[in-house]
Amino acid sequence: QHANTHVSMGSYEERLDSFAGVQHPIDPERLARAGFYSTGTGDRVLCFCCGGGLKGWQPEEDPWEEHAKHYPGCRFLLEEKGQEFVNNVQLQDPQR
Amino acid sequence: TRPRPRRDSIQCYKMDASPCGHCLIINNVEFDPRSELSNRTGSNIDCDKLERRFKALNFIVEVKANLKQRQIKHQLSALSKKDHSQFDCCVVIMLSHGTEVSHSRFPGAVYGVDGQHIPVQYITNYLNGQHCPSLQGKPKLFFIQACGGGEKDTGFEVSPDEVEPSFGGEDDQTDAIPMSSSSDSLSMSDEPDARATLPTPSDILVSYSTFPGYVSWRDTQSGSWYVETLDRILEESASINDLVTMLMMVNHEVSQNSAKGLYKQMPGSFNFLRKLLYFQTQA
Repeated sequence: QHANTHVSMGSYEERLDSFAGVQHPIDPERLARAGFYSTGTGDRVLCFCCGGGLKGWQPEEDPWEEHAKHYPGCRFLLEEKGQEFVNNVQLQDPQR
Repeated sequence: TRPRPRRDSIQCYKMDASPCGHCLIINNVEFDPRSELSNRTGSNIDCDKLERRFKALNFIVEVKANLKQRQIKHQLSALSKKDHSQFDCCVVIMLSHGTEVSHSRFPGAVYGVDGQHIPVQYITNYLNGQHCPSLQGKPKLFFIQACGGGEKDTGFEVSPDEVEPSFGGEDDQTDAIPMSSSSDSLSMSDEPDARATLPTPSDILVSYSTFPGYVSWRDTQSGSWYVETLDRILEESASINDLVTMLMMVNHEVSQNSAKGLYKQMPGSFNFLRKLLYFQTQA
């Protein structure tokens, strides 16, 4: 099952639509804004730009921070949030 | 003699082996005219500073100058084949021209003197747990002073519709857990479309003089802003501060420095360390 094959998910609306009918601990709007779309399996999401995937979400987590923590090289992330944001997330105390 | 067990504390990496580990410095200054890359005057100043600094931090430092891409790969491969079981850490420093290459975790690439580049993700892969078992669980540090980067390279771009996520077993971490994706290339070859997958890199830290694709400034008389600042902060505070705190200080100073001038430079840290890292210093 490759639900994400041949979808670009470049637009916020497309990404938001992917969460239709998905129970997710995080607000889909926040996930979609941070570049993520649902794979349709559990809470698993992928970034449309870097292809980075995340699962096992905790309700208190921030999608942008998690994006920056695990995929700091993502272009969409750097364009949207800037280098300083990425550095600040990367140079927090290790809580990995 | 039996090797003594490694003892990380909960919070910090064990860093008391003597010597602490290997440090490879690759200093590319003179480029083949056909590469159309200018010579990097001032880089020897950077190189000497870092050689002295890491010797003072109890590393076995080896300097290699003016390597072609093939020779860079050879040196990294040789380093990965060494037995690091008596050591606690490994450091790789690249001083060269750089360019932009996309990667979700370790973007950017550095040039050999022949004008052929090697992506940073490949550089880090040489020392990952799979290719260098004797460094498993130990911090692997990469410092990259890469100048230039005006040119675009999308040869390694992973287009999203190529992404075929593969899911490992469920685990119960309290964090959002990254899933491997095809953007992690395990391949040591030059296949840009390798499809092997990698788990999250761990115990790796890459510190870039600047985010890939942006200009990094080097003074032909005093060396580069980044190396000068890094060296000074290591000298002043390695005895009291952990590495990540010091990199934060470096970022702050370099960005302040550049803010005063006409151009900006923001170093980047891509940090997959699990613990704090304190270097050895002679107290």
